[in-house]
Amino acid sequence: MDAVATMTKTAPLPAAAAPAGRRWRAWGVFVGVTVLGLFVPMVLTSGFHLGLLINGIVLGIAAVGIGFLMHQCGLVMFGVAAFIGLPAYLLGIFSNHLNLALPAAAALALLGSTAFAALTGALVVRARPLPFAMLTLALAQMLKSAATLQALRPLTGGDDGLTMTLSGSLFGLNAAALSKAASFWPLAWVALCAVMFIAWRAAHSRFGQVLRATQANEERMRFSGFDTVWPRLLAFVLSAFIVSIAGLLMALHSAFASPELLDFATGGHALVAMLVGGGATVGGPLLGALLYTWGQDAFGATGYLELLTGIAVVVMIAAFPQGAMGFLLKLFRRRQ
Amino acid sequence: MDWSQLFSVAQLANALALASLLTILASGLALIFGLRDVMNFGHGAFYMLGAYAGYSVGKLLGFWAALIVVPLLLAVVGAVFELAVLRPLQKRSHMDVALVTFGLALIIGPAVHKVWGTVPLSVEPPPVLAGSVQLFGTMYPAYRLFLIAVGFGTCLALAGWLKFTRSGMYTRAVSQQPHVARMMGVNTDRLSLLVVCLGIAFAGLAGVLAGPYLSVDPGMGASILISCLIVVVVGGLGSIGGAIAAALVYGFIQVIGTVLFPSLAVLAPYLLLFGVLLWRPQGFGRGRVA
Amino acid sequence: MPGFTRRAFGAAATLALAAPLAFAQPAGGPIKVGLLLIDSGPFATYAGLMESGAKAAVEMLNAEGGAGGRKLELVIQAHSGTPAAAVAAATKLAQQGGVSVILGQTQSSHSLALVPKLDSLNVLQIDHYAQSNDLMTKSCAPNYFRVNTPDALSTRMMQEFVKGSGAKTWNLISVDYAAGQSFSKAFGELVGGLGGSVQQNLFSPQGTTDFGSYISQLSKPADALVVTLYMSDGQSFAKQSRQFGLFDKYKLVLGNGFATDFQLESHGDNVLGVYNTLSWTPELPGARNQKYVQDFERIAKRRPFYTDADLMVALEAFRAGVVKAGSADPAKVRKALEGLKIDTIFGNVEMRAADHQLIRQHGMAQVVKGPGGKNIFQMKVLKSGPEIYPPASPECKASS
Repeated sequence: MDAVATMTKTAPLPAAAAPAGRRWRAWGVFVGVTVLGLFVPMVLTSGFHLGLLINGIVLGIAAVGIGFLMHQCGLVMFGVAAFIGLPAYLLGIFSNHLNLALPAAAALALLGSTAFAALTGALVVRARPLPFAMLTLALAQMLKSAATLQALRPLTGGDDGLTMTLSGSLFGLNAAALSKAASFWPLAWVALCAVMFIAWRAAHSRFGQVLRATQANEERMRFSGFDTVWPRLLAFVLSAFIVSIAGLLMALHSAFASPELLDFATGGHALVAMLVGGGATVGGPLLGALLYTWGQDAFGATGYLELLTGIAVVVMIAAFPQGAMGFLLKLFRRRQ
Repeated sequence: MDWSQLFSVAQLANALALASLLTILASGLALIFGLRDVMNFGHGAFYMLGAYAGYSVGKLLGFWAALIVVPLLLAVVGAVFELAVLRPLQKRSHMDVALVTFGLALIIGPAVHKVWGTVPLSVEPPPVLAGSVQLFGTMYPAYRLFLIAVGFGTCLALAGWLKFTRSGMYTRAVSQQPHVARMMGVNTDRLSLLVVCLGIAFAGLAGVLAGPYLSVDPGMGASILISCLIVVVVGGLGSIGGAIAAALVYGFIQVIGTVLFPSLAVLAPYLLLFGVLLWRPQGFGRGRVA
Repeated sequence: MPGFTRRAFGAAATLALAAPLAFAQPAGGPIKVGLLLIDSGPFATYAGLMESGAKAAVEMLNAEGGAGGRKLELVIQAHSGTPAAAVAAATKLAQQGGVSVILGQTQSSHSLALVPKLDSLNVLQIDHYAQSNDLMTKSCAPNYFRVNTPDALSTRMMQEFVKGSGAKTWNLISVDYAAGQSFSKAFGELVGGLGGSVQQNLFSPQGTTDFGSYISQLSKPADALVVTLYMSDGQSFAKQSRQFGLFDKYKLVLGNGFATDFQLESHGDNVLGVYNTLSWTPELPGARNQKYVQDFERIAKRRPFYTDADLMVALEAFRAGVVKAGSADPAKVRKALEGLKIDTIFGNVEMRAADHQLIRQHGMAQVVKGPGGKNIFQMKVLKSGPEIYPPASPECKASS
């Protein structure tokens, strides 16, 4: 919306040209929080709750990825499960069958998933929002069918899933360390901070402006000489890359991949998390993911998981038009 | 490869039977989308509700009564849906409303569990439709032929309504140019109510019809929703004619797929979606309710 | 940006403060038994059955004095049905719930995902649900035990039956899933070995609703038909087959997980005459079994199914282990269970030390019209465990 207004005057300078003092302070806070976060396992000693928090932030990473795509391009990736399950399976296949050690297997898994996004993105990114969403869903379901194909069972483990034997170490963490919450936390936390920075930076750049302008009025952008497909493809690939990081983290922590990772329902978790938290900010999806993870755990204990999830979704969406984050920010601004 | 298996009358009828059920469901979904611009992710749940209600009403009053009573009941549910859910959220983004309908589906599911229990239910076809009839040399279940007839009939009735009645004309107008239609004095609120009730009633009708045909269990809503969504998107969002055509194509592809490529048959709907949308991004139909 | 990070950190801190502390059990208090339930998706249908069956079993065993004087207490954790969710739920049961053993709706993929984690969670799993053969060969673990009949056993039962049936030509329809694929392969080899042949070998994707096109293909009959379709797939197939009059075209219809006990009522007359493997009926001889059935009907207000029986036996086994070990400590109980002969409603059966499988009975039953017009299973063949269990696989490294 603001991007449209700016088309009639010179575009505001990106954040880089803001007063230097504010920039340094922002950087300081960011680095400080990142470092401070590494100490969370010392405060949160319960392995169970730390594990829950890890699930929350990994889901948060996926939610940030699709939130970015939705806010900048207006495209919702129903098939987000594709980019959660694909890097997981690739990690398993590279580790088990090609006997690659961790750094190589993980890097290749991430690369493979991003490449898949680039290839399929070229096909789907031109579609209108709802067909786009259905196409990404179709992608995820096709990958799921591939994972359960009898012919590929020796490779993927079929319906029973793939238990991974991870060798070597990634950033100093071997397979055993990756599976324990306390030692896995630093990796997950740093990944989250990095991803949020990337998403924020991409949104607050010319690239982000072009995307939002295209979302507002594609025809006018084309008239003005902008290519409207390439930026969206890039956004799709970036979004898929971020989601792939989440998928890779899940696989590293659990050392297990199964076809359910590619199911629409898995994608549903990230989607609900993103929408409940609010896609308008970078932090919204993270908040939504934390709320969602906590909610799933709390509701599960009652035995009415599905019902309570449904009620919570309806209430949250109906009551908070800008998501939970939007609501909190409004509250904060009102206090000021 | 037994080609006689593929091109037999029985297989043709199989494709039509599946397509008929999908047509009724997809028409309802397309109507709601065309008019209200809402992708109702709860459509499968309403269908399931219809099937379970069909079981209970069928037990009390018989199948034929259920065929009339249940769509009326579901129309009332549709009214509640429109007034309590869709209208208050009118100004919200499409995604938000779609997610609310998704949440509704998550609520209706366990509610059905609670009322009807978790064991799959057995719904019998009425005695006159229970057996098989001679169909060009093979014995074919009468109920499926009935299903095809009802599907065809609903399409005709719907087409007739859209083309020849005033409310049908208003529906087409509002779906194509909502603001102009409103300026011309069409009461869009009342029309929305009518269309949503109709769409949900269709879901209920499909549910009752599905009872003797498929399995009545708590998972039936979710499994048919995806097929329905694919049919509506391939048909061209909001286009009834397109949805019907897409349902037919879907039915045939399923049947052909299971005979020719059994392992890959499950991919067929998605390949259809991909293929059609890449060739013709707006789907079969001419978009909007037409 | 500072706004959200503050909030995220606040969330973490709050969670930390809210973290409950001790989950070590006081010695002598109740013994906690974890129950995993699936509450969404197609399997949610059976969660209610499992919950009522578990509650009844716990009540019955507590009435008998519990495990060495300590009462059994059920801790339930529902999850969404994926293997990852199952592992998370089991983790919660072990770390938060303080359970010593995990039972529940553990499908094969769930158990396979859970087995590697049991040791680090310091908890036992006594499986009464998963049927994968891998769980007694390469996916064994010291903390894992199983009391229900695996796929290999059902296949063996069917083989015996096939030999005696006299049918020469066979049509198969199986779910396009690991279990369906491996069964049809094994069955094809068996039939070939007996001089017969498989004419049609059809696979349907899981979740198929309209079987018309398969039924049309199967209308070219052979002597016998074998149906490996589960739950709602099986329901739809049975219903539609009846409308096409399919089963009447065959001399023999064998079900593999097709006509199951708890679906009999909803199948109605659609599966009359079908044979299916069945590991237990309430009519099984034995005083303990009779008492179990009576008490169960009184407590749960319904007839017990074989899934309830399997769960009861899982608890009976756990109790026996606890009594022998004199403690609920997983390491001690697992040692006690190996080779233990346990008095269960199945009779006196042995928990085989080498692969942690309970050597118990399995049978073949036919759906017939019972007294009162209701369809029931009539056990036609019943074999005891030692007669049909294959020897322990050398791949299995369960024995501690």
